[in-house]
Amino acid sequence: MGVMNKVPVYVEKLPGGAIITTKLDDVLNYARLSSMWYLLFGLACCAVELMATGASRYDFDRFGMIFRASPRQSDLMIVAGTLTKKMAPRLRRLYDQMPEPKYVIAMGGCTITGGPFYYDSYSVEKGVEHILPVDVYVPGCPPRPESLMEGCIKLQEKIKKQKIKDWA
Amino acid sequence: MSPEDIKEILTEKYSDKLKEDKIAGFEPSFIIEKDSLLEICRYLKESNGLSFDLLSCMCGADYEDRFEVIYLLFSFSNKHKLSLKVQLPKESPEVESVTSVWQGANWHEREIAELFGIKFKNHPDPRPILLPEDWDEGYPLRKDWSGKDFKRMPDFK
Repeated sequence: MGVMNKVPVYVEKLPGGAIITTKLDDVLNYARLSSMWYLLFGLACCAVELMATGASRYDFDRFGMIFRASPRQSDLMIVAGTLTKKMAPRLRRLYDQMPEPKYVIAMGGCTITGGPFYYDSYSVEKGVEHILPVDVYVPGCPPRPESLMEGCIKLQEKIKKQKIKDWA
Repeated sequence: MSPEDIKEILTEKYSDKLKEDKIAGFEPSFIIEKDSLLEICRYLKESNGLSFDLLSCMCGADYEDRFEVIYLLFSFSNKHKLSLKVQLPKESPEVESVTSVWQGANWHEREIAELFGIKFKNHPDPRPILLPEDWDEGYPLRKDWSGKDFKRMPDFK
């Protein structure tokens, strides 16, 4: 039973079967972190690393992560690449269209501080945190697929700690 | 046609309206009077020997004492090239649009107008083209420009 390895459970042997006792928190969090479907948001060269991470060699599918082309079906937004000021309102709109609960990974230097465009640029937004709340930052220019997967594992750890009583 | 031939034809015909540009890396190159820009461009495109049928690139430049608009021309039929420059004053830079000669100048001129604030007279569609729709921070490619969260690279000397 895969669930029993991932979620803290208490198994009670009864005649005719078994009862599993666990916390609703753990079940919901397990469901959420095991199927983080991510919105395709490739803006620049980081998108190529994102594609490589999704493809067979690094294989995002083993985290249950599948790319979605629609914000309505996504749980996670991976902002991959340079965000320009002209693109910023579009990014915000797509984020607003995602259903709760939603998470954001900022991938690459450009999304964290503007990266190589921090100086002398009139067109680049200096970090997506000015537009969206970011859960995990993945530095690199661009980050290797291993780094991005590390970021996703960090996000899974974050989701694992969520509590129903903290829901708004 | 060799660069020398092009230089010869142009200096012969328009000797009082242009002078050779010595610092350009693009041979041959001329600085021309902005009032005769359209006339020279039309001649360059339509004369049989030259027939510069492509405006391959167009750009602006901001110098300490002037603006420049630079036209890079190419001829498909003769495989030769030429660059033209017009120099404009710092206050109220204005030049005639060359869209009536080369249609391709349309978007180049809109871009230069938006980023340098150089006005192109008689442009068929003078809307902004690249910056965000609600942009109100001026002309970002000017050397003296500064915006809300704009930072110059510090001097690391």
